[in-house]
Amino acid sequence: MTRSRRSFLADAGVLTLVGCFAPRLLGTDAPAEGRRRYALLVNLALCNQKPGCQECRIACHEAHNVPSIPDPAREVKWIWKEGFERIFPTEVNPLLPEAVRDFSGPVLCNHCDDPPCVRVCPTGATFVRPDGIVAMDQHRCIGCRYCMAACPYGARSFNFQDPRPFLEATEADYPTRTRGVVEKCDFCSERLGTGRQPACVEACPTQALVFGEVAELAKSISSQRVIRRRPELGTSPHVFYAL
Amino acid sequence: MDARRTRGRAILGVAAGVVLVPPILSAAAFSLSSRTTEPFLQSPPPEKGSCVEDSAWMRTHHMDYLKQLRDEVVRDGVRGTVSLRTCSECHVEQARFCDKCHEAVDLRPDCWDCHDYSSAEAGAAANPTRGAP
Repeated sequence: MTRSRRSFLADAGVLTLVGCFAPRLLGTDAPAEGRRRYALLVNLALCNQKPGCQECRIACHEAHNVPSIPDPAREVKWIWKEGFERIFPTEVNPLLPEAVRDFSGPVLCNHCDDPPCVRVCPTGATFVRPDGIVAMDQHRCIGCRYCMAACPYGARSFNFQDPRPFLEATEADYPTRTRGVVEKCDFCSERLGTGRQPACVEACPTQALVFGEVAELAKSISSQRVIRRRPELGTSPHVFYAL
Repeated sequence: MDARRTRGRAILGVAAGVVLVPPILSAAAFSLSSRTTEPFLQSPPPEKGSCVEDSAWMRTHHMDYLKQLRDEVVRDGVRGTVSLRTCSECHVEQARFCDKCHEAVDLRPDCWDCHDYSSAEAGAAANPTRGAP
């Protein structure tokens, strides 16, 4: 069979067009319907009904075998409480109500849409799940701590030593970590897998923490103002704070 | 002439024996020694039922199987019913299950740096009907 150069080019052009538009026509490149995107909403007013409360931190650290290391240079934490000025340094201004300035609230991994930690991880040990959770695969972590340097929220901790001696009790259903790996909050992916809420949300005595899909969280917002930590960095954090 | 050749052959034979016999003997001794008795464990009591896969297959492929489970859980978020815990429900003692073979082949996997087999052992101590593996 002989064919002219003209007819070959015409056929190639038709195939190129089909290749460009077929996925759109077939709907295969559309985002999956009903894809979940998890987020956490912190209602600071409710949280501060119990000043000094540490229930979220205690519940989380017990559930995940997070060691209590007294040396602040070596401590490991997944969620902890900070004052308003430490959570939102740029939000403090002379007209900010004093009640708000006196707030404290929990800080944790923000599970960003575009997490810098994931971008710098050389082994793929930290990654974004389809539901938006920034997860850690400790099996792959080589302890380089690039992610800790990249995270603008200081949400990651390094195991400078074997954490087991610093555990008062061990939760048998959750592994500990080992020396030389980085760890952080993972939105309790092990609990979500069995249909439970995150440990901090369950433990909160004032129901200040609401966990769920972003779209559904909108229903739980009663305040005028919802802010995120350092949105100017473009990481799109998914821990929201309602003032 | 003939005598010299015969003597030469005898010397050669003795030399070959000196070189070859000790390794052969030591290999034979090694294969008869206790180190090469099968390190595998007896099966768990029959009321436990069968393993998640065929035992012979598990002996060869459990490391790949565990890695596959690991990736499904950690990376894909698919939590199945089988975990390291499932192993410890039947093979109660880590020392007589994991460690026994790993020591025999001088292998030191780091599973237990983070994961915990011993709590299952504690449970077995409290409930002796679970039996030894």
